[in-house]
Amino acid sequence: MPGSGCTTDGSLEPEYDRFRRFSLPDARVRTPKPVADRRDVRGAPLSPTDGFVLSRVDGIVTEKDILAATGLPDDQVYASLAKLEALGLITFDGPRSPTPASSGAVPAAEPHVTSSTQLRAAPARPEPPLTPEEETALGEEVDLDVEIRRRVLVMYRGLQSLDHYALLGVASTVDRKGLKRAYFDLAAKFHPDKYFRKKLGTFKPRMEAIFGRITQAHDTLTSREARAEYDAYLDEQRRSRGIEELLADALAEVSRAKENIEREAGAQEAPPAVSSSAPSAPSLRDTSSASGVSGVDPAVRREALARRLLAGRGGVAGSSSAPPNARTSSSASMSAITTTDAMDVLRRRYEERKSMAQAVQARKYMASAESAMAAGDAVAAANAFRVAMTLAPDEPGLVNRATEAQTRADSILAETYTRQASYEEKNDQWADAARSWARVCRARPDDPIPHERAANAIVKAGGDLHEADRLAQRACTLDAESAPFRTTLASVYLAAGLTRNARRELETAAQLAPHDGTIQAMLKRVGKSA
Amino acid sequence: MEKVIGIDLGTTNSCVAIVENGVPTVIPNRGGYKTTPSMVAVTEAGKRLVGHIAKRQAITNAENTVYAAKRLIGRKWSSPQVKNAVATSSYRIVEGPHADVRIVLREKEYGVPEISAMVLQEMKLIAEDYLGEGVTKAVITVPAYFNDNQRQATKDAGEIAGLDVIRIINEPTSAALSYGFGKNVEKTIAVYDFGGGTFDISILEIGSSAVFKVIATAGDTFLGGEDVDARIIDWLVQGFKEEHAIDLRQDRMALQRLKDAAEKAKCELSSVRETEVNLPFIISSGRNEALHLQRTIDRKTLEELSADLIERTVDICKQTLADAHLEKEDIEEVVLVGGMTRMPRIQQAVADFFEREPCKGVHPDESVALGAGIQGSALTDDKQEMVLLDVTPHALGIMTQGGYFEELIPQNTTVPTHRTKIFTTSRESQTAVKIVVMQGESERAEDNELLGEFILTGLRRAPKGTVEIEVTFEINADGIVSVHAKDLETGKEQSIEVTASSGLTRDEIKDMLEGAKDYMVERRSTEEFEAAKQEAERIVGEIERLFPQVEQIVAASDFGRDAIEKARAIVTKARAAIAKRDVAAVKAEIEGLSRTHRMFKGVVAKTH
Repeated sequence: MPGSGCTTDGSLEPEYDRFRRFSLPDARVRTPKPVADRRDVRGAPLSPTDGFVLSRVDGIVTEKDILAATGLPDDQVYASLAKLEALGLITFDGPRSPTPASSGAVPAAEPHVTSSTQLRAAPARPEPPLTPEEETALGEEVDLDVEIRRRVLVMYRGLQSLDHYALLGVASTVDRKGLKRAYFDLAAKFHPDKYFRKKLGTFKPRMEAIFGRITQAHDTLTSREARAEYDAYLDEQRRSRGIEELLADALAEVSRAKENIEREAGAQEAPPAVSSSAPSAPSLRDTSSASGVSGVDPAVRREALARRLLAGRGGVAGSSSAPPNARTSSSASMSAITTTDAMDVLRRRYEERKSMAQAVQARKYMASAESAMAAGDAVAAANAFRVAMTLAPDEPGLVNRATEAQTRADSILAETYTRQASYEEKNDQWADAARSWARVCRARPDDPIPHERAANAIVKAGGDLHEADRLAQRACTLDAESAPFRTTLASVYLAAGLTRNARRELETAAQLAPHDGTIQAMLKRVGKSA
Repeated sequence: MEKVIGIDLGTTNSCVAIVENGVPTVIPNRGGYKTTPSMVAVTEAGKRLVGHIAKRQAITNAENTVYAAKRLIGRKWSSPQVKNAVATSSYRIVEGPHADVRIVLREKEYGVPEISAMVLQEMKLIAEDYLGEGVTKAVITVPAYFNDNQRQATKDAGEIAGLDVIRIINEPTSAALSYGFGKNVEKTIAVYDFGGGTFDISILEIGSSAVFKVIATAGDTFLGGEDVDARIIDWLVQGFKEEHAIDLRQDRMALQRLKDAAEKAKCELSSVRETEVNLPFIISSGRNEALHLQRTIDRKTLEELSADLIERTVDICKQTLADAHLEKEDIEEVVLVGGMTRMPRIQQAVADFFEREPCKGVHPDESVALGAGIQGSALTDDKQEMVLLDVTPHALGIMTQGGYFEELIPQNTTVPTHRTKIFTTSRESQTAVKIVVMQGESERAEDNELLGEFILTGLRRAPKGTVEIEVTFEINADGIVSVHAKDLETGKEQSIEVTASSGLTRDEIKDMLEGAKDYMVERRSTEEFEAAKQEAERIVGEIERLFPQVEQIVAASDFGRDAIEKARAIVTKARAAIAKRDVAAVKAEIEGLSRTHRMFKGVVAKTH
């Protein structure tokens, strides 16, 4: 699970803080648990929201925690959870699943299973809480029941974030009829005519906005082509988000791996960590079951171990390279010396174990990276390689393989963002398109096209012109011979009011493409003004 | 709760309906007819006539009788449709002070909405008579393809008639409401509405939760039964010309008679195979001898004469289906509305096109008014569950540099809706920009309908193309368009509510409203007087009948003679009051008359 390991990861503590802050005593405490592996999830008909919610489900955080952590509107989270449950991707009941199975490519660390707050309760869905602004709006004097006001506010909140399916409250597999029904039922609730000539205050524009948006959702999803396009777009969005999450996971993975190594090296009774060469989750789980005292400070454990070793004695000499005089010391001082000695031995043994475990882990990650590469999952491979590199930086050939995987992952990411951006451009979502193109740029820093497109989208969206300038310039640097790139740069300058610069670029563009009417027309415009 | 009436303000006939105890009902007029001709006339004596009575005298008073005013409503003087009407109408059409259209009746100019208001007022009266209470709220229907100016003009007409027009809805949509009301069906239907003056086609979806969603609508506001009539007239005129070398068009009276005959023949041919047009003394020849027009027309001839008109409606159906992204098979029901759909050839053409027999369950003349009544009730009665999701029949946008039309809200967009686009300045150092709001489908601005304009000032002086202006169009549920322009740099904003122009100014509408009120007062007092007069005359009649008997009985006594004199005096006074048309005096006399009558009856009874 994308977020499964994160819960034990110290780096995400702020999130836990947030959980705590929002976990009121009376909060619902159902705990969703994941039941499928990531491979399966990719084929599932999920929206980005669903994917995101799913990524928060780790069998530990409660539903309430997820509400707080996602920052999404509550009804949306509930809808997603319900959908995920319906799809069999998560479960609320049954035996506590020990761990979310890992993707097989990237070994997952053990889940944090110390939670004792898992009370079984399935209360009726509570009213989603309103924000302070919404509470204020709720108090507005209008001819509407409080219940309807609340519904309008909650629905209105979801307009920005929800995808068409979630907005209409339908599964992405919904047929035309179900879609229509959902739309008509909502329209019957939110059409302003329902409250004709009633005092609606700010609720009227809200209802009109809701109506407009559900109509857009309906119109898109009931047209075969538009729905196919939209689904493809959601798919891209989901994929790119999944990939991003995977890549971001690498960091967490590294610290997780290090923690495992610590544990393996430190756990005295544990067999030399992982004898099997195939990296697999169960082997890690073995480790975890052995380290039942994982909550104990390693230093304390080491101390305890040292005492036990002292009592046993014999084992020390063989492996010891302690100073000879130590053995001839008095018993009292000897005791002290031997303690130091033992500690030293122990440390060395610990270091040995650690480097061994590290090597084993590195090999494991490399193996899984290779198998991921072979399976065509460049993203997982790049991740695993990255983890392996931090564990075994000197491993020959690893850098090259890692770079190769990363390049491939980047290119996948770039492709999906390109498709996403194209859809956004087509639908006049310029701000979104600018973001998507910027992502493509990150993956393809030497490709002028995404840079030019990003600059263009920023201008269209009325965004940061400095950024647009930088991107357009980069495009021109990468391909100095392109008239369209120059034209875009010129339009950035025009938007910024830098007519002279614009003219310069247009003149260059005109030299590159002397017969381009658009350039001539633009040139004529700036020419006159100068 | 106050009742809301639904009015189908038709080109040739109008109809009023209401929802009573959950049942939509058409209200018949005093003559018992469910539809009333949309005709207005002014008599030589300056009396206003509306409806059947106006139609009856149309031939003898052709120049002062207005029919089909709907074809002119909300149109500009310069439009080809008006030019055409000027050439073919028997009444005089002149240019108004705002490039609008005025109709001259007995030397007085009337705005077109003013004429329509007279019809609406009549419909209002019909409803008030029926309900026994005042009515002020109405839903009025218009052809789906009406633009905002035509809609506004219709609204103005309602206002002049003293009606609060709570909503204007499209005729085919309205018919669909009446079709689907209380049926609880989920269906995609097509409404083919071929009326007296306009043709409309709408495709709707009737869904769960009693939601009616218009998917697409289109039409032709100058294609209707009137055009079929014109073809018959042409045919008759042509035949007469060949026979007598006289052009009947030159004679307005003859033209009016031809018009009536053509309409009659057209209607008859829906049920019989052939009919005779018989117009004796249609015109006098040069030699001062009267000529008669007598010709037989059969159904086949009519079908040939109107074939291209029918073809046009089918083409529009085809286009609308495409606009709705639907196939013929997707249409689950075809509803026929409008008088023209009685024509067998049209029913056949529709059945052929949709490959499905049209639905027979909807009354072609009444369903539009019924639907308007239903919508009125749905809007004002919380118990009514129905919701209508209508579309904007024309694209909305603004004029851009070079006279182009830039669309912001496309045709067939479900309302309420809003759309935003960014524009730039088109001239150097331009500090103000004029936002010209237009409606239509042509990419050339001049071909579209101008709705309004406003100016956004205070722009930064900058080279052209550098200052960006964000323009937002919004149509709310009431169909009101507002346009919002914002200078993205300074944040300066300007917006207007686009009030489409009916061709009348606010002041004119106010004056006309006052005039209509005066007319109502006058008409009401006339009615009151007529009632009092009738009553008084009835009693006078009774008294006079008894006079001889009573005189005989009481003649002997002085008291009796005195009473007789008094009775005569009362009758004389009552007659004088009637002659003076003094309502109050007549009413006052009725009391005395009744007393006298009772006394007379008593005397006679005692004696026998």
